[in-house]
Amino acid sequence: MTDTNASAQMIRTSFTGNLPNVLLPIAIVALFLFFGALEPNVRTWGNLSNLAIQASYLTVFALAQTFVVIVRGFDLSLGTTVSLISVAASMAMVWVGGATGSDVVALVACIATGIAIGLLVGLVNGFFVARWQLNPFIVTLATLNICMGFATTISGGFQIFNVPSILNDVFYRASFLGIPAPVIACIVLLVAAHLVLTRFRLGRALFLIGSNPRAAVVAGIPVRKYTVLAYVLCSGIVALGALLLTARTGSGEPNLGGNLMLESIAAAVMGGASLRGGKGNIAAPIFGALVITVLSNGMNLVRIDGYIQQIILGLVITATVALQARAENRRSAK
Amino acid sequence: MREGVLQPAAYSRLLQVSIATSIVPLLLLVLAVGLSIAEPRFFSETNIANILRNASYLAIISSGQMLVMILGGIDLSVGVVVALSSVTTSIVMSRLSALWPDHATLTILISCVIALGLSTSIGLINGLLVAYTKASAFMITLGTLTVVGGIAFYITSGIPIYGMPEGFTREFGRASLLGLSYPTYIAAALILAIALAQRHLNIGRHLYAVGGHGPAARASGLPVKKLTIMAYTLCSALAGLVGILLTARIGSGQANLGSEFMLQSIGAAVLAGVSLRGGIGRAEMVAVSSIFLTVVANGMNLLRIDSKLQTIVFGVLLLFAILMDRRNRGGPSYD
Amino acid sequence: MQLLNLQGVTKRFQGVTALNSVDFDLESGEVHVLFGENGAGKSTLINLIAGTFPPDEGQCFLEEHEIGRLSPAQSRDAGIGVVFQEFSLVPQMTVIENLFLGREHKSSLGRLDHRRMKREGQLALSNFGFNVDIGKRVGDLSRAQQQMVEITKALLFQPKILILDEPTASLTEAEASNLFRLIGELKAKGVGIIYVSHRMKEIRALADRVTVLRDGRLVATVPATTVSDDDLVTLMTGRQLDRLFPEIPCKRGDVRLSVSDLALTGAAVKKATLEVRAGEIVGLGGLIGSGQSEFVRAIFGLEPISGGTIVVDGKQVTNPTPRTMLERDITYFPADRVAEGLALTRRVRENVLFSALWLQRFTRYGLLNLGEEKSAARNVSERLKLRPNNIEYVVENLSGGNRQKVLLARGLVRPTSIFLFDEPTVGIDVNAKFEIYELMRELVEEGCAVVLVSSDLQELLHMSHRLLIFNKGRITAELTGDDINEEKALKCFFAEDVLERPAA
Repeated sequence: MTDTNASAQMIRTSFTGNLPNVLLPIAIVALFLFFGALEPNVRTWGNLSNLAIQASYLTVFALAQTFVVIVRGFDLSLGTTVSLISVAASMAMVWVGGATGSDVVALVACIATGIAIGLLVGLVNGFFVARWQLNPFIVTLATLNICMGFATTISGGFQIFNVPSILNDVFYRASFLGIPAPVIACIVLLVAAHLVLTRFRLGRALFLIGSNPRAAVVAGIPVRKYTVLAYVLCSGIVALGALLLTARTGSGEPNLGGNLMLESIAAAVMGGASLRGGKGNIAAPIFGALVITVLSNGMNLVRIDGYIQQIILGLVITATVALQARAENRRSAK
Repeated sequence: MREGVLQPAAYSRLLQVSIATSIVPLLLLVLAVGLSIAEPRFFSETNIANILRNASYLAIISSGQMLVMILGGIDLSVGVVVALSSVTTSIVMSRLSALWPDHATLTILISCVIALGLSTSIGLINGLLVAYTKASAFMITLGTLTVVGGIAFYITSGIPIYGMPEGFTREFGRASLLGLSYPTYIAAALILAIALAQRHLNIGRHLYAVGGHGPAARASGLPVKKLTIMAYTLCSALAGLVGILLTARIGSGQANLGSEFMLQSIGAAVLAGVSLRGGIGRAEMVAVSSIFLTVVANGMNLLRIDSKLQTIVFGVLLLFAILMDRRNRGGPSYD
Repeated sequence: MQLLNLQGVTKRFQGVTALNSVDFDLESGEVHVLFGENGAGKSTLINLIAGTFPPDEGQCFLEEHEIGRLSPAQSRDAGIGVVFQEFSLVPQMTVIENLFLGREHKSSLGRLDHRRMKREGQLALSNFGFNVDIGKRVGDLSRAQQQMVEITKALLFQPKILILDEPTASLTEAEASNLFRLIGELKAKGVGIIYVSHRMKEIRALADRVTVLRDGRLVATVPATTVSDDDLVTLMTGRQLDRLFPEIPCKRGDVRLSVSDLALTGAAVKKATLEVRAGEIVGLGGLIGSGQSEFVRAIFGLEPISGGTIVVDGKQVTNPTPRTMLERDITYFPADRVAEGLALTRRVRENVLFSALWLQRFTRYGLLNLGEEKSAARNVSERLKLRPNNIEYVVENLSGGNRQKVLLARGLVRPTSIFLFDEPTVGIDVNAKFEIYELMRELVEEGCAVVLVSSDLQELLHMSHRLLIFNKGRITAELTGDDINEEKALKCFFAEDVLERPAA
């Protein structure tokens, strides 16, 4: 094998192998332009800001999912964790707000409750996956049910109203330099996650563990500890996302998580995180979430039937996943 | 070339006799005895028939899920296939019976065939995509789940569909034989057929081989792609059948019918000792675990335990099942 | 009659040419030995014939009919039986299920004829002199028994062409001679046999013709009777043996690593004792699966230990883990690079630094020092002559030899003075081998202690200053100086076998 041969090989793999990084941004822009051409309202500032807010939520959840996908994991419990946090944090806020009469204390209680639950779920997931080496699919399927049970039980299946409006004011209405709070939160999280993944030992260890867990043991990396950390990080981010989402409606919703579990996985994988582990970056949740959001936003504005939208979204998921798999197979064809 | 050779030690860990497979029947027995002491209504004829009927739907779908899982795959789309089948059956049947009010049997037959055919073709698509793109089954069937769910809702606009002939909703849906409902017999026959095929037909054996060790199956000349396509197709066909049975039972076609089956079928299969890594799983065990899950729900209802707690119990049971069953330790292996 | 004829077949994997325009033919009733080092293309060639994958170029004729691409199923139907080294057995299934996999006997209604398969399978196994319980799951069998099942599976359907890929790798001498008798019978029946091996003794006993491959090219096809052992080795390696292995002076220093009475939980090793000094290479040899690999793995904390002590530089290590051993300047280089060594989807730089992430030099407060990392990776890449010399390359795309260099680089970026090599040259080309031996020489000259586990006898004989022989989990012999030769070593490999038999 000559060097020119090798570099040609490298160029080829960088195109086919990183399909998401090359094609997805183009696809996103093309989608936007396409809908913009059909419907002028797509191109307004108002819609752009709307789009950014919507994409922020999904990006946050896809980012959370990315952390566990990197270590060959899954978090099926993501959606019901969001629901649980939404009702629990709202209830805590209502209760503390009523008891102390202080909105700020109530807000702190709300945030603390949300994050505590998130970390707890992450610990449980990570503990079972790492300590006993159980299949993450089943572990998080179990916690999915447990969280759902708690969410509906403590709320009685009803929305939690009378949540002090400070939650909505801070996490939804506030803005900085004209950028809405959810978008700011999302950007901050992304930057932090990017630094963790590329500049910190933690991120490096996660990639290596995901790429080859047995090799990571041989190389002396504390695999269990870092696997637990990945799940804790995931659920911690989920908790922040859940608070943002709860703030938008201003009430605790026992069904808030709805489709988030599947959407977050779809977004992360479409963006280029590999379910085989060891691969991913913050571009994955961003691009994945943008594809889904731009598509649904555009279809909404050109008034495509909601169910048709779902069908189209599913076809896009299938096509992207199939194309990625083809690229991946071609590279590791042996 | 030692790369890729499995060491015997790794095998035997895989092969440890499953505690879960012996524990689930035992638990079922304990639970049944306990419930009949705590609540005499449990052992009433109607309650048992009721449990068996409800377990039938789950058992049929879960045995399809099991076939896919034996291959090392997963099918998230079973729930929406139930819905699609229900919607198709009811729409075709109500239209046809408006056209030919005098040919109820023919109408029922045609509608069921169309619904089954449609369901089967969804499985065919899943199988083709998984076999030829080699993408993860999770993502492929997630796509199908989204598309098919959308179709079911689109054609009904989310509204239940009535107008099916009484022969279907009453005579077929509610009828019983020797105190047991039709779905119970159908499920029993199907489980028996699958269990026999797993032991006595080469197709059953080949499925285990493909899921157990793919390269060995290929080297032994097994048609891996064909088997993959077949498993997904069968899985969807079984889900489609459940869609028809449920539609007959409730008397209307609904686009949100069966959504709980996606997770329940996987749970029932896991509880039955089916390995997510593939290569392991028995139909009769899936039937037992389906009955077990149904009895748990039924018992909680009888004892007036908040139905919302049932999902928590389901989750805890799942965790318990994998903790007991080492074969399912499909997580990252560090040792 | 000519059974098989391949002309100019070429096969590439991701830009690496595994087989380059090779011609090969097989007559009926002959044993044609394929000879070559690991990675020479033998496996690729037999996989082409078995239909595992198609050739990129070239023509194949089966009994003088040209065939395009064969699927494994078609190749089986055409009468090609293969005994793979990576067995084609499903571990979860029983022996009998595996023997008939894909060719089950059926009775009426397509039902499996369990009785007939049991009868025939049992008969075949006992005919071949293999003592295996047909009801057991293959995963529960020993490697030797799995080998027997694999051989029986291939022979069960009277193949016209039989391919045997190092079939004796884990068989005892008695079992192997049984196999040779079988091969003789098949030959007499006109079966053509392709036999892959690099054991001289077997080649002498069996071969009619020998085809030598090197780095994916055909070197020569020669009649077995006219070629000497030395000629074969020279053809295989492309250089004289004494030029392949460097001369390594031994300057013994302090005792670095001392292991006494080490026993493992699974009894793969029973009471093994070893002492390694600075400046020497200690070779560990024996038949595959005799415990030598498990022994070094246990020292590094990768196998559960049931007894014995490990002392590093005078300090006892009670509960070894990779982490604690790395901190004591010991690094283990696993035999299975794909399963245990490398993060294939990650870059060279990350793999080189894999075990160095906790060094102050590369991280502070959990923050990576990327500049230091890059310069360290570049340095070792230059030193090890990595090709391509690009630390951002994804390891997946490297050849076997370069992958091994990336793995070895770990010992160079973190302070390491005790090297535990497990099969360091498996599956890599001759040049890379040569470079790795050179690296070992440099290490020993710097005063490092080296433990070398290898199944390549020549490598062990030429590289070791002391050679310890493992036999059934025990160290049964220590060879030094002139005693390190093939005859003595092989005698020790099989020695206990003879001793134990009367007792059993």
